[in-house]
Amino acid sequence: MLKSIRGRLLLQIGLLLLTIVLVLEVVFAAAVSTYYFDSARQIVQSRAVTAATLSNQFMEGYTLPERARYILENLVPGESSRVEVLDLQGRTVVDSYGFSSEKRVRTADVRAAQQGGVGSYSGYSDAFKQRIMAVSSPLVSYGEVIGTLRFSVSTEPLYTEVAKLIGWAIAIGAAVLLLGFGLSLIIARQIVGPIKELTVISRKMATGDFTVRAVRQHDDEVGTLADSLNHMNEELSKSEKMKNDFISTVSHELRTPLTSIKGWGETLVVGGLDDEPTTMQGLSVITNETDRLIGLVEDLLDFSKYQAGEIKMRSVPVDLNLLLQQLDLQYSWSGNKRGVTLHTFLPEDPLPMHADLNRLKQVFVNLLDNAIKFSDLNGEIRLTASREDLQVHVSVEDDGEGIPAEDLEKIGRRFYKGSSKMSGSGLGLAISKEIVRLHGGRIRIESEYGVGTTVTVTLPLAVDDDLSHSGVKAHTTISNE
Amino acid sequence: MKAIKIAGLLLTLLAVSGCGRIASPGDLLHAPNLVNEEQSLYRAVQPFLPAGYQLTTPDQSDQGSAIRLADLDGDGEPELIVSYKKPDTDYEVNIMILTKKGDTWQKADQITGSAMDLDYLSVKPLLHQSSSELLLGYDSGGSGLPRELFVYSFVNGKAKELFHESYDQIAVGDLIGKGLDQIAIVPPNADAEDPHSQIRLIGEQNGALGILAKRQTDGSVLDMHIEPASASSVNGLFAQVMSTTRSGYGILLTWDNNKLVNLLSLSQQSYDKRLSRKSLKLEQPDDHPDLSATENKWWIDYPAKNRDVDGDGIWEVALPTPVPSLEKPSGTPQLWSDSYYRWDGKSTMTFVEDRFWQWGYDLRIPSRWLGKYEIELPNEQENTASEVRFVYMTNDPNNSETPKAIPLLTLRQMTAEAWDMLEPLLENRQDEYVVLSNTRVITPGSSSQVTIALLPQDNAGLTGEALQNYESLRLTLDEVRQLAGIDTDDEEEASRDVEKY
Repeated sequence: MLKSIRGRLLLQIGLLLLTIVLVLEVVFAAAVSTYYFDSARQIVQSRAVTAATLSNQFMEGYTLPERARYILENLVPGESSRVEVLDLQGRTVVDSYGFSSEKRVRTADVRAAQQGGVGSYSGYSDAFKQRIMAVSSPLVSYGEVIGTLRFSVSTEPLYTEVAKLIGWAIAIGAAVLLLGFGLSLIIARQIVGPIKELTVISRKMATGDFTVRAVRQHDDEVGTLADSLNHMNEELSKSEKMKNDFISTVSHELRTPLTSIKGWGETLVVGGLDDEPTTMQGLSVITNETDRLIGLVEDLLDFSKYQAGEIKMRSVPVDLNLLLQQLDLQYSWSGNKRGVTLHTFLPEDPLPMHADLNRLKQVFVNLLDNAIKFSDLNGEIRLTASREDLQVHVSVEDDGEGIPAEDLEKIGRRFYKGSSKMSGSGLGLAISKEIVRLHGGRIRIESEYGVGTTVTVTLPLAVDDDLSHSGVKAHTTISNE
Repeated sequence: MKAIKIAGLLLTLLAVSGCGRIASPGDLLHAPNLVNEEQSLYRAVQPFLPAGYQLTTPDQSDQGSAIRLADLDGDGEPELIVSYKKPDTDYEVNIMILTKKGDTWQKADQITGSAMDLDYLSVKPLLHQSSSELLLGYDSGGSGLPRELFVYSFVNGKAKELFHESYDQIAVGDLIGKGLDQIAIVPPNADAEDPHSQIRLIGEQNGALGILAKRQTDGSVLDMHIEPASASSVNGLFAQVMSTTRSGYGILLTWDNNKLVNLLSLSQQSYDKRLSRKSLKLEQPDDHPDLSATENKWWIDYPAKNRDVDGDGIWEVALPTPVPSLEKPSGTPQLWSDSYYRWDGKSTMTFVEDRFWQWGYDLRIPSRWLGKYEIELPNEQENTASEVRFVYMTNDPNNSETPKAIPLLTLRQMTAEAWDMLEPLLENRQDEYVVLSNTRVITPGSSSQVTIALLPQDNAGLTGEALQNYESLRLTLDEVRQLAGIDTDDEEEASRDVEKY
């Protein structure tokens, strides 16, 4: 029971309520009985003292029986107390019912009055077979106590009333406890119910059912949990789809070169190796296609490393400008099959930064390759670097087919290839993004479908400009590769 | 949500039904219900009483109830006697007699007297031992006006007047000792100037009430009672006569050989021995019709109450006696104790005890002190009235020539304010004391007074025999409480029953 939220809630709220109710009950009971008994005593006392004072003032010198008679004859009509006049031995001279008695009353109140004070007493009276409260006041004549005026009332109605009130209080307390218990049950159900539902849903999701959706019932923490569960589900299903896409893409990418390798292999087997030019062409195709396969596999390896977080940047002070100039040379000089021309706009000053140049080169090569790939035949692409404060923006711009707006967002996610029919793993941009992110920069892609695409890499620069030496060093390293 | 609504409804219901009937403490107060017989008697008389009646009680009575049971007609079934006043008539006292028919009470007769108050009511057998007469004394209201005694017999359910006499003092009891009661009355003086008065003994004489004996006095008679006078269950008439010649004397009349005699016939020689507080020898009882005929009297300097002082059921005669006081310059008041003597049934009055009355406190002087203590009043004039010291006299151990007073007990009266200051001091010093009375807040205008009894803390450096004597006289706190008559029993609520006659 205590292992469930419901059990804990019930126990805690129950205990809290019980404590509060108990404390209140005790306070209430004490207050009520104090109020009733003190008030009653005060009422009786004020009557007794008033009557005794009157008698003492106006009947000084009279004998006790005379005063007793006067008190008896002048009782307030409907006097609610029993009035007794006692002599010094505590014998009843007369009571308000007209009886006298030889039996001695010797309770504390009477003793106090016999000593000249006002005394009160509560206790069980054998005479009346009930609990009584009595207040005695001395009757004084010429400064001498001659008797006692005693007012007594039954306290049974007080006990009954107090018991009744306490009974009600206990009933109300029990009702409050029950209500609280019920409320906490409801609250527990409201909390636990959605969580249970979510549990069922998440179990379904875990088994691969991505069609289920958590229903957001309330705008609370559980609702948020439902939302994020739904979100997670969406992401999972996207990943699932992407994975499937990727597998089919990669299979396709792997099959194309393998098909041509196999084709040429069979041709060579069937045709023999007599026709040297054909044989050479076939072998060269096999070599090229094998390279493509290797590249593809390396991309995959790289990516999985990035994903696993195994790639560490070996940051050293470098000059980005040198790298870009080198790329400019490489692409201008080597040219390409599609006859795309590269225009490079670089600043005069060095662009110092801490970076892993090999990785950065991989990024820009990827961007330039993409630009060339998506450019029209004999089109042109532009590599521009501009410095802004401590940042450098390097953009690669092409006039190619561009990216449709709906694809633009997804570009750069792993395995996403867009709607283009071009071949590729769809990993290049994802890997580039990862590298740039590890350098503390970001990649922004702007594109208009049919007009062209601009990819801008923004990287932070190092504060100190004294990098020319190390930059050269980096450059040397790159040239050596 | 539904549960909350239901619970809310329940709570409201609870509150409405519960709180609607909460009664205030004042509303709940009522007198404890009478139990047993009292209740049935009280209920029984209600139907016969007029609206707005007031129960009234006699000033003197053998039993002071306004509602009482007594067998008047001697049939073994008690009658119910109720005394009451009507609300609209001031000068009327009613006595109603109810008889029991089967299980219900029925009104038998009603006696209406023209009087302010009922002075006397008793039920006594005067003529026959089997039945009783109802004696009613009416008080006309004024202090100088005579009171009227009516004696009724109750025969066949009706009250019949037997006797009627004015009186000033009344006492009823069996003086002769034959099972019938006699009425002793002092008739009012016809002439206010005449100091003489009479004591008449009225009793059964040939089947009717007649005067059995008369005694002439030379002064007014006070405090007349017929009570047991000796261990041999002889009743006596106790009274005091305030004479014009000397201050007054006590009398104890008994019936001896068909004569009324005054036992307290004390020769001057015997009287002078009273300071020793030993038994007093009586002379031959005085049977002269005129009490003033002899000088052998129980002379009293002030009227001290005769009473049963030791609680053995036999009344003692009081004799004011000066207490031994240290010599003082003139002007210091003489202090008195009331010495009580009991008749031995023959011719000796046995000393019983000494009572010292001060500030409303009736302190019994321990018998072992008698003859060994003296009373000392402080020298300071202003404090004279506020402190009394009982001291033991001995010779100063250092200077055997000068006597020395060692306190045994100090009574002190002071204002409540002074007591508030003194109490912590006494507590601090761990002094032994008893608060005898503490009259606070009772009578407006009168200042609160506290009376305490202080016990000495040491033996004042006494040695030898003096120390032994002194130590034997010292009191404990419990003794002081006992001597002062302060209840030390366990408290209890008296159980009540109707007094049966």
